[in-house]
Amino acid sequence: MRYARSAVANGVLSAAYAFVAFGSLRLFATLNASSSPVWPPTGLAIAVLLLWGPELLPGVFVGAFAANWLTAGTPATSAAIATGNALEALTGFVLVRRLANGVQAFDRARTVGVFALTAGLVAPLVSATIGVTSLGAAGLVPWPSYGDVWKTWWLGDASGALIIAPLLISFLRSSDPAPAGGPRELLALGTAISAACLAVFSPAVYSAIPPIPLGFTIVPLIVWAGLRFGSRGATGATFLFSIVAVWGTRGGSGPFNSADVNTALLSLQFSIMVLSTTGLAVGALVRERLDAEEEARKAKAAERRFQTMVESAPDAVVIADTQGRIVQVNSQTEATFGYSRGELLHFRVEDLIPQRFRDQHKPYWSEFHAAQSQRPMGLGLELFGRRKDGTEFPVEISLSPLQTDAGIMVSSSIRDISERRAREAELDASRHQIAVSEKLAALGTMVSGVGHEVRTPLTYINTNLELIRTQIEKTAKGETALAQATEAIARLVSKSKEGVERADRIVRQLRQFATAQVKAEPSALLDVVGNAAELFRSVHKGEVVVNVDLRPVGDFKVDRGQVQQVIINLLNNGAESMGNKGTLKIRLRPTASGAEIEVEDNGPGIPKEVQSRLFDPFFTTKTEGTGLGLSVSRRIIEAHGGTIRFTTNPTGTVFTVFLPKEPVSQESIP
Amino acid sequence: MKRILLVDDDREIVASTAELLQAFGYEVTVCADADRVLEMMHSKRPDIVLHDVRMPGLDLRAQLCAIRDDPEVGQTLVVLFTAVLSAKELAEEVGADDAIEKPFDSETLRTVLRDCEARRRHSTKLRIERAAQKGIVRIGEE
Repeated sequence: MRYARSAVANGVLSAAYAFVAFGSLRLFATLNASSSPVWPPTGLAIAVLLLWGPELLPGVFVGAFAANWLTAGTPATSAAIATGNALEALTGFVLVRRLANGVQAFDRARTVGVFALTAGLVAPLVSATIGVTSLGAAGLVPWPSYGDVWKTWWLGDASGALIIAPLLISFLRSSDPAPAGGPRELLALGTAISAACLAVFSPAVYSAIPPIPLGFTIVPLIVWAGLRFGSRGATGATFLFSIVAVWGTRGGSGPFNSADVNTALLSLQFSIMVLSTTGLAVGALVRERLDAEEEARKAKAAERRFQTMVESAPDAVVIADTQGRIVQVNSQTEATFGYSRGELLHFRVEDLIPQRFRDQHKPYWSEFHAAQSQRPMGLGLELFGRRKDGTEFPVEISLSPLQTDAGIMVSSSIRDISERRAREAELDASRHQIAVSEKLAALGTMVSGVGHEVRTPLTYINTNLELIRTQIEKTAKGETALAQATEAIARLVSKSKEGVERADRIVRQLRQFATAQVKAEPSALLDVVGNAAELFRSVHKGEVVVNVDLRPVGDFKVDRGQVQQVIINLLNNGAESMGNKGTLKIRLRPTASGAEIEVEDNGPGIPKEVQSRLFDPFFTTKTEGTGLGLSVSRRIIEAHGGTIRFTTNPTGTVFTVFLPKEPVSQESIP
Repeated sequence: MKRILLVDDDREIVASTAELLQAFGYEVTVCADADRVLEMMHSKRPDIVLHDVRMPGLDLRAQLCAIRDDPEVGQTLVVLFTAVLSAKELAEEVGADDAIEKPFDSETLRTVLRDCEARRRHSTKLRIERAAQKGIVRIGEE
């Protein structure tokens, strides 16, 4: 497909090239049949290659060959000339693309100059030299006239390149800015050019006035065209003028007229070349100015956008240079710090932080400059800002480098986080409150159960005391032998002492549970779990059986009271799921990185719709209870760096608490 | 001699209380298993059952119902023997005759048991009188 298109394009080009070349030779080649002072094909070839690429080179060759062979010469000379023409086009194409920005050559005055030099002067050297030399070798040009023929050839090609190539490129390339001049001005320009042509080339006009160089009248018109209509205007005007001029000159009229047509045409072509280049340069200068204006407008818009962005930022934005001098602030900065914009613009960045942090600030500043990238400032540190009234407030600062015309700047986005801090503190407090009240609720249940447990030994201690009194009374009355009484009393005292120990143990366990230990400390997990289970047993005595299977796992850094709270909570939930009767199992096992505590019930399992919400605060399936037990439990375990999970089916549920040997974090244990 | 069935699973409490009750002159039978209470009431025919409220496998309410529904021993005095607070209310709630809170002193125990028996005699007399008025006395109910 691509090849087919390329072949068609080459065919069309070769036909056009041959047509124009054949016509030029027929009309203008007076010195030598193969050398014309007017040679548009060079411009056509260079323009086509620049516009559509070098794959059209074969079209140039075939067109040139056909035109020459049809006109004069042998197949050999025609082939040589065609080769010269093709190489000329290629040279122009390569140089313009490399040095003059290709089809954009006419957008800048500098590249217009380079285009004139390369496509206009250098490229035709190739064609003229190869063409005239091959004709000379074939005997078609006598060596003495080599110089004249070569000059004609070179100048003809050069003028073709400088008049036709810019014309085609300007009109055929896709982008060209809208001209400054409107259609009326275009009409006026056209009229002026026509009038000038008429004046310059009409014998009736120029013979009536004294011999003054009327030809120059066209110069301001071309400049006008270039100024108001850009490269299209300049090249179009030049082209129009050159058609009239060539026609007139060939007909023997106008200021270029001379005894020999070839010389006259060469002189004319040279003038038009200069004119064309001037027009193009003017067009390019206009274009340059328009582009610069556009650029400036864009820059201004971008700056306005940036200003708006900075101004509308929710944070205080402070832009400072590398020395720390503030160069720009937004109104949020004024509001946050209490200074006016005028004051702030005389400050350095460190004036906005409390005195005691200023020394710390400097290393940050230089560290940021050492590795410029966007980042939060002082990660993990508390940062503070200082208001005009001297008050301090917590801030969060994000730094980012800013590339500006005035060098690298630093943009600091400063957020006042006082409110957030306050909210966090509030949240922490309420979390703590929840943890405490949850614990108190558990403690309440615990106390009534424990009360029962303590009263049991008290009961028989009390009874024993009564019995001791009875023994003493009987002995005093002589009803009982002293030895017998002593033995009985010793037995009762011993039993009572056991009772005291029993009560004491229960109270100790309760105290351990209730103590709000802030710090975790190494504890034998076996005891922690064992005590919790025993405590639970005393509360649920007679209703729920607890099978305890605990293996030693060593010391863990835990908050005993909290871990017990979790275990008792899980046991409570298990017991409730079984309607407070049945058997619970609690296991403790070492694992590779810590220990696992499993609490298993044989209740009806946790319904699917409940499972995902199980750990949500305030979610409960019970008629009584805060719904906080599991959420608090999870928070406690997570604060210990552990996890809590469950598996459930219709015949029971197992909760598994994992505690790591090396806790991840101890900071946030509530 | 009055017979007491002492129902409690705590060995120490059973030992000391039984000794005290014996000193008061009761004939004491001990039962540590809530499920065997009714069976022992049938075999021992106690005048009073002193019943703990928290024992493995015990549903107190059901237990009381079972006792009360029993045609042979349903009228036996049942006194709760408990460490829970507000024991009297609990007794009323489940249909027991009275309650003794642990720990107790010997005088309290003696008084409660005596009052209980007195009330029982009184209420039985009343019931018989009332029944007599209605003419539906069954001979030998007492």
